Formats: sequence, structure tokens, C-alpha cells
Amino acid sequence: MAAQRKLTLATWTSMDFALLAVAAAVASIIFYSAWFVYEIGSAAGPIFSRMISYGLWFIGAPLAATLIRKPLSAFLGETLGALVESLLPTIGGITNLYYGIAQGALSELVYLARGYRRWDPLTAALAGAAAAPAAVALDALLFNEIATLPVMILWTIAAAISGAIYGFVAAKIVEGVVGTREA
Amino acid sequence: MGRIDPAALFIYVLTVTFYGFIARETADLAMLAIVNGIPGLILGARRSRVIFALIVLGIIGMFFNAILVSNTGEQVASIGPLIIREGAIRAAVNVSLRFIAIGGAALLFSSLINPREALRAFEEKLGLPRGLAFAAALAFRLFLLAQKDLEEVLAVRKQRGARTIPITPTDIKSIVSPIFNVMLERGVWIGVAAELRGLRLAASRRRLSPPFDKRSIALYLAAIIQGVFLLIT
Repeated sequence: MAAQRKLTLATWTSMDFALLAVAAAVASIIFYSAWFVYEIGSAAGPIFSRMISYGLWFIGAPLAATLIRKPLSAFLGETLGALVESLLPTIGGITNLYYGIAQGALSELVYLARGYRRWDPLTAALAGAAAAPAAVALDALLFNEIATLPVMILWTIAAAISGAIYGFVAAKIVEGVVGTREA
Repeated sequence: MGRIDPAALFIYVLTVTFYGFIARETADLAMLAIVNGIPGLILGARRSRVIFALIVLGIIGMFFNAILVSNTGEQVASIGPLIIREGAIRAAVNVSLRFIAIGGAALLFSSLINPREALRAFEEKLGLPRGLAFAAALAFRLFLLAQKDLEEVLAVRKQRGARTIPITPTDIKSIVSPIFNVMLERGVWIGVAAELRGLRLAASRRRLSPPFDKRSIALYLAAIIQGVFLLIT
């Protein structure tokens, strides 16, 4: 059981990689659509746009982790989704990959902190929320989205709430679909 | 004419994107936008109309964003009650140039390289673990199938009078669930087939061996020259 909690790909089977592909493909199609949601939401201001769209960009990690339930699955789900999105391409180009790596790493930390034992919707919500600081920090670096500290905290909270909601939804979808199939 | 090595072009685009991140001066960003954005936009305009439209939309969005977060300094213009200041103009120009440089580099890559070739090159030359290369290639294939599934789901939602642009989490769930179900079915059977054929993906990894042919070296040199320009200015 201890080997199951090591940060390695050695315990991954071909089935796990196939499931990772499924999660990455679903994530990349959501990432791709999120650009349109974000652009539409921008008309209603930065808080609203973050609230409705940012969580969609964090969904790869909770989706893959809830499905595969192995160490590194959250990080790889987010990163691979971003890699596929980068290859399509979208407006963010290769920057999507940077975002994917940073967001995936923070989401993975949540599963690590919970000892790789909890793969429930609550953990997925926390993993989704955890990705928010990475996205806001990269936005500041790349798109000059730098405001006063209270405003930036507000943006981070909006992104975290969005991440938590969509992370929870992602885990529920996986549980629902896998539950139906098992039944 | 020979082809550009996907691994070399990926290294180039990755480097240019990194430059896009760290460049702060307008002159540096303008250089990156001219060198990468113009050829990328010319090559990619026909093949990737969506990204072209998103770049235009993004630039408009960036302008409004700059007014919101960087509207400081001398007054430049006013539209009704809205006062546009120097800081907003500078921020909008800088971010737009960065957008063009990064988006252009992405278009350059997608116009010249097939994603499957790219993934093969990542595995063979950039040391991407075999399992991840397999998952990425499969994800790309599934993505194309999922696009068709998505069109069907949206068509059905439209017929039923439901929103086609998801706004609430319930919308997301009702769109993602059926697509995920179908994709999972495909993924599970591909996984079963891979296991039955004894495919070992976990431990295998190739050595890092980036290409060094003439075209690849020219690309590396182009990236280095742009880096030197950023250091000098």
C-alpha cells in the first residue's frame, strides 16, 4: 500500500494511462470552451469572469484524480489537458502548459496533504480551489493583471470559489458515471 | 524543402513564450511580436480562424482590463465619463504585443507541425515518458471524437430549448456527463486492449536527444538572438 502513495509512474498500468487520456481529453475540451466563457464573462467585470470561468481551467486535476486515484494523477490530468490544449492551439499558446503545470502542482499538493487516501468531492473541491493562486500569479506575470492587494485577494478568492465549485462538480460527474457503469 | 523538426520548433516556441513572460519593455515585446507574431498570424490565419478571432477579442478585452487595473498617469483621452490615462494605454499596448508574440508562436507551431508528429518527437527526442506520450496521443485523438460528441449534445440541448453556452454548474454537468461517459467507454476498452497486448508503459523512457540538424540549429540561434536582444535593451 505504501508504494501506492509514492510519487512515481512505476505503479501505473496501461489502463491508468488510458484513463488519464480520457481525463486529459475531457479537460482539454473544457479548457478550450472556457476561453469563450471567459471572454463573454469579461463584459460583466473581472470578478464575475473569474467566478464563472477559472474553475473550468482547474478541472483537469480533480477529474483525473477522482478517476484514477493514484499519486500524480491530479498533476498529470491538468498538465496533459493543458498540453493537448496547447497543441490545438488556443490563444494562450504554450503558456497554457505553464498554467497547467503550476495549477496541477498545487492541486496535487492537496491530495498529497490528504495522504493520497481521500478522492471524494470535498478533496476535489479543495484541489480545484488550490489552483487559484497559481492562475492569479501567472495572470499578473503574463497579462499585467496587477491591482491593489485587496483586489488581487478578491480575484484569488473568486477563482478559488470557482475552482471549488467546478472541482466538486467534476468529482460528482466521475462518481456518477463510474457508479452507473459499475451498477 | 525539408521539414522542421517538431522537437526543435517546440523548444523554440517554449523559449519564445518564456521571453514573452519575462519581457517588460515595449521595445522588447514589439520585437517578439514582429519576429513571431507576424509569420505566425500569416501562416495560421487560414488554418486557425478561431484562434485568430480570439486574439482580436483578447486584445479588445485587454484594453478594457487595462483601463480597469492600470488607468494611472497623464490623461490621454476621454469618452463620456471614462477618462483614459497613459498607464492604461501603455499596459494595453504591452499586453497586446505579448498576446501577439505568444499567440503567433503557437500558430507557427500548429501551422507547421501535426500534433501526432509533435507527440512522437516529444517521446523520441525530448524524453517524455512513453506512458505520458501514449496518454497525450490518445487524449488528442479522443479530443477530436469528443468535439463531435459535444456538437451532438449541444444540438440536442438546442432542440430541447436549453442553453448551448454553459453558464451554471448544472449546465456543465449535463454537457460533460454524457461526453465523459462515452469517452470513458472508449478509454476503458483501449486500456483493456493495451493490457491484453502486454503493453508496458510505466517504466520506459528514452534519453533526451534534441535534434541538431541545420534547421534546428537555425531555430536555436533565432531563439538565442532574441534572448540577447532582450538582455541588451
